[in-house]
Amino acid sequence: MMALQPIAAADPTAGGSLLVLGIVLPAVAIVALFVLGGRWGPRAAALMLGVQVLIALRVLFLVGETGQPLVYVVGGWTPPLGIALRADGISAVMMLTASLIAAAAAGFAWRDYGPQAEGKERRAPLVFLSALLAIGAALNLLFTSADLFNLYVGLELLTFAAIPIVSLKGSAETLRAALRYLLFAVFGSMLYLLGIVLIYGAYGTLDIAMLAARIRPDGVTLLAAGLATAGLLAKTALFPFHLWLPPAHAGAPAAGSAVLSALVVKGSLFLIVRLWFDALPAIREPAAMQLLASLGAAAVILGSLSALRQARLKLLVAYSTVAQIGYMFFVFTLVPAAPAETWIAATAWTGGWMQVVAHAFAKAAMFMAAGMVAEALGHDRIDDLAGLAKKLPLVALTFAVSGLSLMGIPPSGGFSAKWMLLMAALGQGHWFWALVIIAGGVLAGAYVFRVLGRMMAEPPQNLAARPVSGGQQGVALALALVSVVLGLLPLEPAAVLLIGRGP
Amino acid sequence: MNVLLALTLGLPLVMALLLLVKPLQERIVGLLALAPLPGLLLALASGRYPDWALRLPGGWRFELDRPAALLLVAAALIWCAAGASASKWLKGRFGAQRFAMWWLLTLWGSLGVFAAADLAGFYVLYAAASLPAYGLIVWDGGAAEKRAGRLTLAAALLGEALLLGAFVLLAAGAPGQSLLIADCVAALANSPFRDAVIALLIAGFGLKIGLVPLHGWMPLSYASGPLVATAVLSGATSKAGIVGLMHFLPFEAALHGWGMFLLAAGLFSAFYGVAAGLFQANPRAVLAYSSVSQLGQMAALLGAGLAVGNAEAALLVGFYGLYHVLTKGGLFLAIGALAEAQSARARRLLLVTAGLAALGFAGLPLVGGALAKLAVKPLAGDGLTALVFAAAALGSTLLMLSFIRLISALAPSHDTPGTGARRAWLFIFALAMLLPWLLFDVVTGLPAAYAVSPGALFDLGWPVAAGLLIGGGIAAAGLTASRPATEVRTRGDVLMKLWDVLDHAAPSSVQRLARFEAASRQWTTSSSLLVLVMLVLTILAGS
Repeated sequence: MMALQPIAAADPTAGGSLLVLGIVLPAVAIVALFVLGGRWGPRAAALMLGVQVLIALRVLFLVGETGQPLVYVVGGWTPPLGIALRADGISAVMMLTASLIAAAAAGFAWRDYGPQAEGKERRAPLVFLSALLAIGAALNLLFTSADLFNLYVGLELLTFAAIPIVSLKGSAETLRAALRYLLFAVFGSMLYLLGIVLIYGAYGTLDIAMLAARIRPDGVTLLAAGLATAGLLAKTALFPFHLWLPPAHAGAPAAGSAVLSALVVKGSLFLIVRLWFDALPAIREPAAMQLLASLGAAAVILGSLSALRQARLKLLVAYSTVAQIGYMFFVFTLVPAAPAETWIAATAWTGGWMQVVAHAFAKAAMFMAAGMVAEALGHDRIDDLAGLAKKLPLVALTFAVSGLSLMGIPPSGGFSAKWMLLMAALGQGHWFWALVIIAGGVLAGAYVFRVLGRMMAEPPQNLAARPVSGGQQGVALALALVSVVLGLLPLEPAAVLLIGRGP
Repeated sequence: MNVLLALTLGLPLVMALLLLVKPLQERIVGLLALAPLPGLLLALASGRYPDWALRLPGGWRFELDRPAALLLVAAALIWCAAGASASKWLKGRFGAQRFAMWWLLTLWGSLGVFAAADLAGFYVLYAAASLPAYGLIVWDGGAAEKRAGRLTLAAALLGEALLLGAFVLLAAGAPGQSLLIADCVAALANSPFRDAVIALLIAGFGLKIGLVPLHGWMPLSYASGPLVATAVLSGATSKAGIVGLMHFLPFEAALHGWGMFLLAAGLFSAFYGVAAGLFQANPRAVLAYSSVSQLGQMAALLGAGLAVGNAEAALLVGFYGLYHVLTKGGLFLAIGALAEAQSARARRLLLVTAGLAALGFAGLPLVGGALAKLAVKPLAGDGLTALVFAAAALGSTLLMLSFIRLISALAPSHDTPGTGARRAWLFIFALAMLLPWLLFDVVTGLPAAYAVSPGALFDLGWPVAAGLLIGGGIAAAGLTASRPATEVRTRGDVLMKLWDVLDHAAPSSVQRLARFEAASRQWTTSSSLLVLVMLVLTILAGS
């Protein structure tokens, strides 16, 4: 059951300082952004987002090459006294995903939120870029922290960086959505904090590896686990705690929606996985895990059905996120013990992360496509999309390609993910989860086709569409294509995702 | 020499992408007949070079075996002929580019699926052969077309879901990590999931080939939308289901129970199609029910092969299918050609050729279809099963007589533009008559002269003759009063009733679920549920 080697025993590894840079550099860039102002600040921010991609690539390379996690011990104080940063396989993969999508979002938003002419500075570009950088830093902190309190800090930073993006448009509607998000997220944070306070009281440490070794299933621990998980579920917007997600994600500007749906909800999801697989592996009772998976199943079915009956494209895409989050919770029941223990467990584990990554790229592309639709037509009413494919063929293509990944049509990461989850479900005789996974694909097909059918329909007379920048179309299409290329990876357990989790 | 495989799969996609480039659109719409040509060449060349295989990253593999090559020849030809007609028909038409897009995507799947040798490749090409048909059917259509398109799409999505389940179980039950169809199927007989896999396969592919009771979408789909589209959907894409059964059923293993089940289900379809088709007044619906019947017979023949472990079954059914691809697709073109034919002589030529080809389904001696029937005789066996197949042929005769009567009563319309449907039909007719003669000895090992031996002529001839007699008697008694109509009669079809109920009930039940979802978005509900989940999680974790 030991999932992690205790960090105290492991020395800092070469390249560990990259992890610190991944967190600190965005913070430096935020300062630079405000010091340099509207003309040069965005350029500095863009540079830093590019550097983040390079850092993530280097981290993934080092982790993959050595087969060991990268470790950095802050200030030379080993836990439990000090704080350690640790990037295992899943951290490295998520760092790369997040940095790529953040960079793409900045590229997409460059025309609106990029450098400004001298003298007419606006507030929105600085807010957007600094929030984007802060989200990058927060996610890197979440992906690499090896300590539950540190993770709490990352979680809070993530929420507070996401709020400005939700309310960037400044309308009453988006402010209301942001407030809704804020209140629910704070409620979630409170529960999580309460949980880790209980754990600290019981064990005297919040270091994940140490907890894993000491954890015992007593009442306090169980209550703490329940509190922390419930808090994180609220932040992840798992059904039925998704009340804040559709208005928040649909109301943000397209590049912001892309980041919120693709990355921000994955932060707290990552933390739930860390919590149950790495910190509390000894108390992973199947019944409790089935509860999580059942909520996931409800999310898949009800989220998809709700998406099917939305009148607005951005809301449809947002509800699709509610549904797609659900799949990731099947990992809790389909990975019976440690992910590396059996072939089936490793397959389910790989499928789950493939779903996280593929959904991130496909959904970012889809939100960008929806944003371009709204910009070109001046509305995003699905019933009035006729003729769009004629006016903006690449936008329709982007929507179609990312839709195929959500439906799970090969070659796409979405298909690979569903395939591996299905293999694991049926291999263990879990027919119910397999049925839900398949039904989710059919429903996704229905809502994607509903939109595509309208886009491809006969255009009305004198359909006026404003032009959309070619660069934006390129960025969105590239993200959609990444979700396709992911489908070319072999349909088997990925070794990199098991690095750092024992034999 | 994998260039042909790559082109077969690549050219339709490249053309579809080029459709997005505005200056090229008109050119591409005019070249639809070009897209299936690499597939045709590939199928012709594969007889000589059977070992070609194309491997792509992600474990994808494409190769063409002989049974699939037979179907591919015919499918490429009907796509080609219908494509030429479609190009002409679309010229200057509003929305031509949209139609061409759906057309090329369907073509890509329809031809590619014959060559897919791994599970993922098959799955995506099968989807491409099924899902974009929606666009072809509803294109330019009204409410009836929308309903038919929705129904076709629902059947396709359901079929995909069933097949996904089948494929995952197929791979899970096979030792090793190979996702090649041949490897997985070889291990199927000993797989712990054998029965579940075969049931899912039959249901999934059965939806595509309209195996009764999964056939309800087919008559509505074939009676709607442009005729050129129906020609390729009925002729070519329906064979994706047949090739699926050919490649996924373990013929080496002799699964008696499942074989007999498929035989029975297929034969039931064969007779049901005839019976329901005889009540139709729309010639397109008659052809659709004839498809239900013919595809049912192909499934039955495959079942017979599966029951006794006859590995030749796929090849023989492929040969049988070849005639059906050309003729069924072609007859839809012939309906279009009849509407355009102005002179009595042109009409007569069309009616005679269509009549001959149609009666070929029943095995009219000397016609191409007769050779198809002869080729599958070893599968039908002798004794009772052979008699039942002969009875199905008799039924086909009656059904095709009804079809001929209906199309000969079709009034020519005077405002249809020339679409080249006549030329396309005559081209396909010639091939449908000729190709079976050329290929007969290659496939069966018997000389083609066997088809004119007295024994063969009698075996083939009596069901047709009996059918003609009965049909003549019915006509003489004046029992065939109904005039051509456009309505499709689906009364008595239980699943269609169910679909209509669902189609009407869906909005309100989704509404109810939506109300539930909206309730869960209330602050108080959501936060109290959160506390509840927290407590239950705690209790469950401690249990």
